[in-house]
Amino acid sequence: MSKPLWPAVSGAVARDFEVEVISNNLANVNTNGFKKDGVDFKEYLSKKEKMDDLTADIPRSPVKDKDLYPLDGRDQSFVVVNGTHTSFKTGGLKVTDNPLDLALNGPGFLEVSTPNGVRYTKSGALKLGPDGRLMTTEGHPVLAKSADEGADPASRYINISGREGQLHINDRGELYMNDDLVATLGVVEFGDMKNIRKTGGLYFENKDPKANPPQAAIATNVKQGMLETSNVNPVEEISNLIRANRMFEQDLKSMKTVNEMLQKEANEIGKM
Amino acid sequence: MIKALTTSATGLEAQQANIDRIANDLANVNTDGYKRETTEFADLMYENIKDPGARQGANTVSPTGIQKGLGVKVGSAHKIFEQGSVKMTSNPYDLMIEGKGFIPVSLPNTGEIVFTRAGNFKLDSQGRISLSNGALLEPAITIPSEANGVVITNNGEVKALTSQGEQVVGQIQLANFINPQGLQAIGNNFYKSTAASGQAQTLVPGEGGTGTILQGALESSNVNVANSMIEMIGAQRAYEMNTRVMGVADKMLEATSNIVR
Repeated sequence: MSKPLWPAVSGAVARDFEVEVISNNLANVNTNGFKKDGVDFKEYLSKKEKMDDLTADIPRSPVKDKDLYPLDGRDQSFVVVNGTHTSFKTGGLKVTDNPLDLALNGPGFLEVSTPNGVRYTKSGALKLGPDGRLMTTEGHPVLAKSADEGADPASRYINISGREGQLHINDRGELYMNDDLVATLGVVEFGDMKNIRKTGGLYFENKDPKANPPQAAIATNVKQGMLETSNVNPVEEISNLIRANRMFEQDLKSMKTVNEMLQKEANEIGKM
Repeated sequence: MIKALTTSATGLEAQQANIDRIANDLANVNTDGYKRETTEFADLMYENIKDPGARQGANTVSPTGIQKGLGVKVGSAHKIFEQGSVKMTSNPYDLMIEGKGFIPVSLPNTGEIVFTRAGNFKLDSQGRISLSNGALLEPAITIPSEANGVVITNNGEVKALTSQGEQVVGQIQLANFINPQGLQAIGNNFYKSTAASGQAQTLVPGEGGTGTILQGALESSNVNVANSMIEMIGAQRAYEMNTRVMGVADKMLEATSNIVR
């Protein structure tokens, strides 16, 4: 009798997960370079409880509704979180007029060297280190384009110390000080975005570098003096939040109903 | 649900930092030499529940993983050293820097060298060029009491006009930083050099991209009121949305605890 409780519980747990993902999206609604997450759910069938018994032409027991319409456990379908995916849709572009702010218009990422290995970011709010090295807000050096992907990241740092004049970065990511080409920013794209997972601090990690190697950007424009805003759509998130909340309430309602049925079973049947 | 509560709390905290910063910018909209700030956010760590490519059966791997973000933090709050507009004052000791340099001054009590963009200098009782709070130009320059006027050239040369003619009394220097955003604002329009900004390179104005000096002018605040207002709307709405999430998480918790009465 307590079985119908569990699909409702699975629904409530799934909604809870969804609300947590929405809360992270909304917390980052003003985070430049942030990409929103979405949740996929899937139906999870418990084992078939009764096989279709097509050979039996003589009923061995009184025929019930269930025998005519085999349920195969479909009355007990649970919901589970199947996966979360990141939407890499481009956010809005915001003009900042800061020469070190870059927006990557397109699917590309900047390559960054962190202590945990090369990471990728969409956040182009770059800074200069005290030694003139170009780095991200988190303090990790940005890498220059390299023909050899296996090269030591330390050899690909971009340093503009000892140079005077205006920093200019063109659409292809070529970085000029006055008229001298200093370096070309390492902008890469990926074929399989599913393997690009977040690690926090606006960084992404390539989970499968062998099957999904970074490729030189062909469809990405670098825009200097702009930043890419978060691609979280507040309308969508709030409506998802309302929906998740109501569905959670409905799941709780079913749990309550089962609870009341159990109560009757325990107390009232015995009285008869 | 408990996570949704704390996640939206990080959002509230970040937006509050944003509002605080905008309030400070707007409060300084008429402060000469003030540089506006910007607040940058970054997402916090992620909880990885399932990796993409995780094995699910003999021949199946999961195409997507499951990860859950835990909120937002303030990544950096730094000054934007965009040039403010010129305000002509015709006061001979008002100096404006056209360029990216800073004027070094020494603090009155400690003698510590700090840097400023606000060049509203005066003369103190001993004829030294100083700021209204007593900080002296570094190196100190004394204007002789018999001077009828003062001319400060674009290159920072200070000339006193006396009855005997022009007399050079000092040279104003400008400091350059490789990373001005790493400077620490300490109030009173002063900045302190830090490990992030690098050491000050003191140069004669006009050299090495420090910029030149304009006498009789002040640099007005570079706060853009329209931009600040838009940012304020964004921050306020983001704050509201995070409180909404908190409300929903609260309602869900309440409903859960009400299943059993």
